[in-house]
Amino acid sequence: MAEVSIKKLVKRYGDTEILHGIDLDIAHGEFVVLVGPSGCGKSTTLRMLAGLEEISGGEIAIGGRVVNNLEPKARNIAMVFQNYAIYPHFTVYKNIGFGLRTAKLDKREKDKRIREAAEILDLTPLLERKPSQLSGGQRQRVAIGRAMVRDPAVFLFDEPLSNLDAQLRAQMRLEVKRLHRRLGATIVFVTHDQVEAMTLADRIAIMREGRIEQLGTPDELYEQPVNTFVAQFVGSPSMNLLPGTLDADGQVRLEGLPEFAVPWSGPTGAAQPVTVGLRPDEMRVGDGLPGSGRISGEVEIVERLGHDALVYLKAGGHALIAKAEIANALTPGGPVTVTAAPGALHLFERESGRALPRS
Amino acid sequence: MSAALHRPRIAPGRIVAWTLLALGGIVMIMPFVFMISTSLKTPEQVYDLRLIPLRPTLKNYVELFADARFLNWFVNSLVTSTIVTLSVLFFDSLVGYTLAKYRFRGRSFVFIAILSTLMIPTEMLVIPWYLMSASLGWIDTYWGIMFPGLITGFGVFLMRQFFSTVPDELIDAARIDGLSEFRIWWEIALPLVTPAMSALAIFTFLGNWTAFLWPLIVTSEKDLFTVPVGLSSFASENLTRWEMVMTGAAVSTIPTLIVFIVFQKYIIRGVVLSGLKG
Repeated sequence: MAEVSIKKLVKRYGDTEILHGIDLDIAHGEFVVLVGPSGCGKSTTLRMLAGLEEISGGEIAIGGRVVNNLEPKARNIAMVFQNYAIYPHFTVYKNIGFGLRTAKLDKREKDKRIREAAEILDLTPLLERKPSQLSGGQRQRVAIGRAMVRDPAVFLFDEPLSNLDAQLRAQMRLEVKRLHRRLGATIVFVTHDQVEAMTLADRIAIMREGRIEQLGTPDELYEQPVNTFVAQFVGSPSMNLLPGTLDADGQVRLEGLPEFAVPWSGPTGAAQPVTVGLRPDEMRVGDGLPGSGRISGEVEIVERLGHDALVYLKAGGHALIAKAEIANALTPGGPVTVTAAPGALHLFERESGRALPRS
Repeated sequence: MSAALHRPRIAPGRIVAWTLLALGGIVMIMPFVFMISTSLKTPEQVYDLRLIPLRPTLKNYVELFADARFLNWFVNSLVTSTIVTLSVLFFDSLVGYTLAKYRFRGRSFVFIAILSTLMIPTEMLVIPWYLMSASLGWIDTYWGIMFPGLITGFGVFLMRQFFSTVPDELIDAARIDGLSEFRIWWEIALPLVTPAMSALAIFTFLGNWTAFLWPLIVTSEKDLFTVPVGLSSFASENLTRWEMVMTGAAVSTIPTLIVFIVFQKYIIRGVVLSGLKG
């Protein structure tokens, strides 16, 4: 079993603490993505898991064994790096098999594993090539192959797709997902791309400034973000955040948009300033259902995406984005009305940014 | 059609450049040509400055090789230069790698300290070296000739700069693949800096092969002379046998040419290899 347990993990460089006690339990076979803006500590966490960075405090266990003081090679992990890190002076065959040199396997078994991995990753015709003769996607597959043949307890991926172009990235994303299903391995994957996180992960840990802000399934993060940071980070385009109030009568109102009034489903007390979160894809252009909140404004830009469009609008001094199914009638500078159903509302405390509970 | 028949015009700038380069080339090659030419002359013809000797002769070469001392000097030069070169390649690249790829307290200080040794001219060092050699009994030994050059600040500096260009991720990947730190240096990092290693090998071998001042000071026994020191013994107050000096010099260029030809190939191959972009 290859579960990973991280307890109170701290990293300090001199006097600067950059990880402030991270707790994370990853089940055997689970695909967990660490995501966050650059400098949030996600790569450092991964490198500590790999044994490439010293642990300043706390504990990491892999498969029930504390690995704090173990060398990377003794941790039974494999890692795929952002810049592939395949050895330029070896052939693809030797690159894939390199991690097996120290393994106690006979030659035929090693050869079998290398060829199997090459077959799975479509690299068989390229085995005798040098990395300089490969494309970016092929190089990354070689790096994945090198990780695969070692049959590790845990796979670590450090932004492996960020050097690839958009099309290739989508393709490799699928391959990584397929690989996970096929190998059933525990995977910890670091990325700054929330789309990658949402599409790949069983669970996502959203990190900011050395802390995990929220840990949950992609759906949980999307539907119940714990604060404005998570709310904005998850989803594309990101959630509209507008200043408003939650009045004592349970109505949510937006500053500068008097016609907007929507009942809040959660508990209410005295009137309080809030930040109102509206996801662009939960808003409708045109009149909505009865009880929906109306926002009238002016179209700024329309981005056509194919079967739908993104409408950038200005209303009551705020800038908003809404998704529209039919964009033909909308012209920049023209009037527009968007509506949001009561269920689409997310409320956050204005000061702390924490989410208010919904019932 | 007519365009195809047009000869490409050569820009006047190019003609000037080529002329200057050709002149430079001639200036560079002349000492070499004179050396060969003089080595083919008889003693009477030496001061006759024509390039092609009137009656070329190989007598000087025969005499040189008949003299057991020259062969001895040649071997001395070969042994000391080769050992020093191997030592420099090994130690300088190890130190350079450590300075480039390990984080430790005092790293910059150590690097600057090593770098600052480059500012001290050999002429200033020979006296301390000599005193040291005298007190440790290294005078008239191979070790005495070699020890100042076994690790060089220049080599450390050069190798550190090149190792800095090796991606850290490759080294991390090798750690995860289970290599020891020494093997990472040997199997992963070193093959990626072959151009620098080759350049360092050429510089070091040439520098030691032609070294004169220190070998002259540290050796007094004729059997331990290196080629340049030995050749200088052909010159005396009353008579300098230029034809023999030139013959010896001509023969002594052979190993340097071989080293250059061999390592130049590695420089080119290395550039091709490390041309891989991420």
